Amino acid sequence: MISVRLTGIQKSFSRGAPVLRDINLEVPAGAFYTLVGPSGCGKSTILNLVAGFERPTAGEILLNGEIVNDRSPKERGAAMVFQSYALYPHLDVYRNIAFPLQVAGVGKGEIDARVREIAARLEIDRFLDRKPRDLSGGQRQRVALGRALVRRTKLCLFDEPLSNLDPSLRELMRGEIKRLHEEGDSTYLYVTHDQVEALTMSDQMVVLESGVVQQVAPPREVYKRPANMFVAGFIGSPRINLVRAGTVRIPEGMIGGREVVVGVRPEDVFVGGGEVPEGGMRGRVYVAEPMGASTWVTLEIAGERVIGHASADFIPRSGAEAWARLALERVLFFDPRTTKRIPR
Amino acid sequence: MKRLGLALAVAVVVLFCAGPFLWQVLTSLRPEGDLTSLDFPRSLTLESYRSVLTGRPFARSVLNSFIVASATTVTSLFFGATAAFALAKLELRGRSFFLGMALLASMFPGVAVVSPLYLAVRALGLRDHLLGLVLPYTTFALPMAVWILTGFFRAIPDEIYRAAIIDGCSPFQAFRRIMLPLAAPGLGTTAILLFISSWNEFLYALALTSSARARTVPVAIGLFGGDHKEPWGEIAAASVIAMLPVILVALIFQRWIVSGITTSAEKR
Repeated sequence: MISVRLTGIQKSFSRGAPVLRDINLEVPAGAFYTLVGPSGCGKSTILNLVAGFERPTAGEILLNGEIVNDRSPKERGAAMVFQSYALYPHLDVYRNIAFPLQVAGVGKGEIDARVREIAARLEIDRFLDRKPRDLSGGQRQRVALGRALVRRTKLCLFDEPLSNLDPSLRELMRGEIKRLHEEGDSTYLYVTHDQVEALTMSDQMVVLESGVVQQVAPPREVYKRPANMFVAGFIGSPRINLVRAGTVRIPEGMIGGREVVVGVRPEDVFVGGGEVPEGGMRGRVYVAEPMGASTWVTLEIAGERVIGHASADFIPRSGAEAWARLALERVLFFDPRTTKRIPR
Repeated sequence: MKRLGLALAVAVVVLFCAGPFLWQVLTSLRPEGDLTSLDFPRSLTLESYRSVLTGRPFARSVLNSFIVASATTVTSLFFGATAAFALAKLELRGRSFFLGMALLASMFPGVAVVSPLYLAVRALGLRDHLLGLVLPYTTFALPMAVWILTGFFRAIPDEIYRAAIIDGCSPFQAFRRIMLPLAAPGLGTTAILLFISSWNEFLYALALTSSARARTVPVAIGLFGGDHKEPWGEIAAASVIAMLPVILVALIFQRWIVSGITTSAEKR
């Protein structure tokens, strides 16, 4: 197992604004960390710095407590799965997986045993003599995983490995990768722009925006107690409602006269028709989206849109009257100037 | 009807491109007295071929050309491929400057540099020597190789190179085991172009050789003419013979090009 530590990392390329500004991050050995954020937030750059493809402009990268800034990717010894899979097109599946072992000078017999073992584990043992071009996207993805895992390195880097798969395959592979991490003893550093991957797979999420770490916390914590309005808006689907305090009715005692932005997750807003219950607010239906198990209803309340959920059989027309009631115990407050969450 | 039209159009194009060559083949087979007639010859003879190959040191010239063109191609391809890989995939300072210089060097007209080259080759004692042709030929072939191959190496995704590096390769191992096989179509294309341009080169060969010892095919054919008449039949026979190695080389490297096309396409 390998621990990863980044201290004061800055990175700028020859032209343009800095990509990373003062990144401090500690990944304990054996953990599964996801780096998540919108495109251009610097998450892939962090991975390239750890792999050794790029050098930081300032700051230090430590693996197991040793500074590795000057070490080549080979000396750092991480394995990596790429977004495009980057399989070697002229080699068949067997040789693709065997390649890192051959380069390392592992004996033929051991190579064969390890390639066949990992191929069986990933259920690609039937394709060993095929070339990558004869495989489907999902199979290529498994070959790429196999090539990384066959080395049994203690640090695996993933650069959006599932983003080229269709949704059902992505769901399947999410579970597979999580299992592989639990079976082995490697540290996984996983870059994604998909919040579902980050929420479902990782021990800790690192949310990034514009080269700055916004929050590092377990997924459940990031979801329940986002550090600021950016994190609150980025994680969760449908998006969290962020509205002025005047729009929704909040008991005066909860905010104590301060000016706040109210954040409330759509699943904490209950919507219904008919008589307005105690603590409910009246609004007009902007649009209703039946989801099968329930219905997402967007209401217009005092000029702002608030999305909430209703029972599956409540499917109002647009423009109809409806009410919304908040689960007050789960409402979040943010400082409108700093955008930070105000602890309650 | 449509097919007939297409076939006709293809026939016209083929005839237009191959016409002069076919005419040359025909000329090489005409008997001596029939050379300048435009009719289809009444009889064919291999006399011109016999006299080119026995009456002149032409076989020697073909061998010279083959050695010079092969040596130039191999040298330029080796250094060209390593340089092009470095320019395309490694972080080097001033690589666009270097590429610009390579392009510039390959654009110099031969006439402009032939005299200094002559002096340099003479100073090295390589005049009328095959090595004295390979070196000057490399001066134009190498920049051309660098320029063309850089494009081919650039077309290989960066992630493939990075995958090789992360899999434990040194840059040179990544070059030899991954990048070079993937650049095979580029190597094939470049090899054909280099071989043909060295094979056909006339100016340097004329200036830098003085005897049959090092004379190459284009110069040898150019010097066929005597004081009183041009031996058209022999010239035709010689040029037909001179085409054969080029066709052979093109066929060999064409396989690389095709095999490369089928191994590429790493996505989808």
